[in-house]
Amino acid sequence: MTRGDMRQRLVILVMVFTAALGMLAMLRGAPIPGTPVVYTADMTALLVTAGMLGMILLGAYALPKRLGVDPLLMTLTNFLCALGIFVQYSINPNGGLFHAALYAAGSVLTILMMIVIRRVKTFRDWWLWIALGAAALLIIPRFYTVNNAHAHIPIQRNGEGLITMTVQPSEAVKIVLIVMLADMLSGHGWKPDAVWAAVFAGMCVLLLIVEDDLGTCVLYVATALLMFFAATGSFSVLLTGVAGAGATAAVTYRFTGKLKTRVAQWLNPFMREQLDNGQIGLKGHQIAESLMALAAGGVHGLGYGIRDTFRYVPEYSNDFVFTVVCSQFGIVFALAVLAAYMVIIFRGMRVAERARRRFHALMAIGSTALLGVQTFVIIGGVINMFPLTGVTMPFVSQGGSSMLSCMALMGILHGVHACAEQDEREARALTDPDYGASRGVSSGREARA
Amino acid sequence: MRRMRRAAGFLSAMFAVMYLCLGVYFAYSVTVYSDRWFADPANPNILHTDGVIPGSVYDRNGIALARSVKTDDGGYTRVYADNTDVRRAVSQLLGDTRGQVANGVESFMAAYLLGYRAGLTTRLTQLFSGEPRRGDNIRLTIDAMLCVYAAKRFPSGKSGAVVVLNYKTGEILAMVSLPNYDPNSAKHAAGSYYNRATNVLYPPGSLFKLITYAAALKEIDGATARVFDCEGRYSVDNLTVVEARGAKHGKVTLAQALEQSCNVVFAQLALEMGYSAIERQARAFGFNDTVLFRDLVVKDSKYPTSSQTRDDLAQSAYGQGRVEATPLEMALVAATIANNGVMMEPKLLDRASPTETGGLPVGSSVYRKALDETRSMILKEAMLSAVRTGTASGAAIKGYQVAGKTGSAEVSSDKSVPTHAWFTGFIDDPSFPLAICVLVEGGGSGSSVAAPLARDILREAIRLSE
Repeated sequence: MTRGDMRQRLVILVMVFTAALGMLAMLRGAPIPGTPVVYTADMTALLVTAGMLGMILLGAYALPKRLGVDPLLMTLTNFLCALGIFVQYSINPNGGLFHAALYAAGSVLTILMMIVIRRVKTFRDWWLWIALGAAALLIIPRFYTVNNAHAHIPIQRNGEGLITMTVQPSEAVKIVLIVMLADMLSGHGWKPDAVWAAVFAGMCVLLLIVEDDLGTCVLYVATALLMFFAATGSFSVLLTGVAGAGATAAVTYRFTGKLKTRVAQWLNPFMREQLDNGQIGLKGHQIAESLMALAAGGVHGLGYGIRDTFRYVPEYSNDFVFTVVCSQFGIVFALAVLAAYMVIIFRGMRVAERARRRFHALMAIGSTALLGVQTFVIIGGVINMFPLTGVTMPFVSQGGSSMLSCMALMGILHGVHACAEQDEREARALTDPDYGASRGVSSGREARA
Repeated sequence: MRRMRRAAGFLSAMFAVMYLCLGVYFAYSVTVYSDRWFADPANPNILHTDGVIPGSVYDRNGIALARSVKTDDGGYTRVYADNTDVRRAVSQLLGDTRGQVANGVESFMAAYLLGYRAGLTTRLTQLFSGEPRRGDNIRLTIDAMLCVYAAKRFPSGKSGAVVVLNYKTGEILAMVSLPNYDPNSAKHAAGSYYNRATNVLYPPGSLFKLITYAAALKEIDGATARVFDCEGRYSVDNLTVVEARGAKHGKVTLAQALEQSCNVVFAQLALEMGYSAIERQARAFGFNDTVLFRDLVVKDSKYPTSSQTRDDLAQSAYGQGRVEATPLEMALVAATIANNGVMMEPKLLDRASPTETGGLPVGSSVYRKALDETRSMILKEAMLSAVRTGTASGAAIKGYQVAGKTGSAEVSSDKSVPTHAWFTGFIDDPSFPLAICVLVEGGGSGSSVAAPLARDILREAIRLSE
């Protein structure tokens, strides 16, 4: 089977999946057992499905040709986004539509990000200003309290003054972190830049500790560490970093209360405890509810749209969305979702390997590592493999900031991919004039090494 | 650049390993533990069953133990067996949906009863017909009439447990715990929510000698031929091992020591073998191990080795000190010996199906091999002669080969409280492969209380299965 055939099969598979979910979403009256069947024709769902199918085709065929995006990455991202949209739609139609709108905006952002990456060779002149901007973005949320933490800025409140929409600046700073570190670490042997990179990463992490956003903090530390490792290629850097992070975690565990409850809940999620209302209840409430809902799904799941198992899981549209996927689609499908993430990571690293410039390779590694770590951390937490750290599941979890930042990360990967392709074409055109002429590449330009 | 490419390749491999671990852990934990997660009494999906009609529970002969009946307001309510004796006899085994009894069938098998294990076709039909979800009906391996007999024959006013199982298939035929309660009445006796067969640990007393014996057969060369000397008492460090009723067994072989339940000989054996040898054999039988049976939750029986005094070691040989076991575990020990050393997984679920009578039986499966065949034959022979001529003679049934071991476990140091009466044994007959364990709390002597009780229950089990 050629690469083209494989791509075609994957695209067909993703389209069939999307169309099937779209149809079920359209008949949303049906899948609630115990209620009379109402076969509604939900036109919004129909529109979303049609749009999604168009986007899949666009991402797999037209965009790679016109803009040089990577079709495999595009198709898998579209698969995960379609899953996200329909899962959110089954939880709450408005949430699903919001997710779809974010996906559309995110797609535009992907292209914009790609163009920026293709144009800009370095941000050196603006380092100071970017760093100050990032610091400001991370400091602002400190003055607001949302969900007992200081990581969000409320931007919308309802009539009763309750916060209905927030922005999480640390999601945007993720992109800044990756681009800045890649830029600072891309020079050969000019040591002060690496020091600046460490200073910048350290500043971001410190501000996140002040924000009390543990989950994002873990992601920043892991991404920065893996980027330093990639830039130096030295395993001692990696090991020192891991040991340092472990020691910090151990000290935090020893001296603060926060990690202790998490670890206790992880070790024994079903432990009973006296609750505030005097009754005896589950201590690891979140994890326990997640595991019970996972178990309800079994191998093949309860079916798309069945809500009665996960309605007790806290944050089910957000951090615990993987539980919803499991309970609706079963563990076999959940493993397929894991595989999709894994292929994205492989592809991202492959993009990095093919890049011709250190700056590009480092950005690709950083973006891929961040996506990989984030998915690993949240899924592992939800299935209780290790203590839960609250981060979102890329492309599927509800949440605008997260969706947009993930799409921007994909934009970086596509940009690096397109540049590498162009560089390769130009290099071949130099050595082989016929190749260039046949592809319409101007062979006169100097190839960038 | 080359270094960075290498780093990217390494990171690919690292993420591959991480995600592989994630996938394997996920698949493994869900397959092994999901029933237990789902069955947690705090599961809101069990507590709030609106929109679902829970399935019925039947015993092996089709006696309805629990059903869902439509109420006037259109909802469904749970109705238990018509007969009071049946309701009481299976009360803890069946449990309830609110989790008052830990891990009863009603909560532990809720995934079936509430339709979460239904097949794809059933699921789809329900989805598109708009009918309320109907849970699977399940048929248990339990014989309700045997449970009723065991509960009635039990010494009145006493607490305890009876387990009867088929040692070839692992099917549990009776599991009774006393005191029990009537789910239809509001007044429930204190302690009646405990399933004493599975969820309470007792000192196993002399029953543990079976395990010490099995260990000795492996660890000590020529153990079968060796002659021991019992002078009625034996001093360790601060402990003096004595015999029941001041007996003095004189020169005995191991088989005779088991037959006469001689503490002195077993204490000597333990001191000779040491903790690790006995612990290894106990572990093979399921002690000190997290047992994960698919159909029931059993408390883990314990053979502690952390205290390394010689006194504790000597006592552990005859199941005193800090050794603890559930009646089900001791029934499994006898069943394993009866089944040539192969422990079958104890099971309660015969079949589950969306229809009233259909469904295929769930097969039996081997849980583990605890003993080799030669040693299990020697143990079987010793247990047979314990019933023929030894302490367990009260369990003999005319016309059948009954094997057994009695125990009278001390629960106080000064003998002010009567001992727990134990019996575990089996019928050595391929057409009636039944193993039993009986425990009467504070019942007195195993020989005079537990053995005759076991005999009567086994006789009834034979009568019912004929």
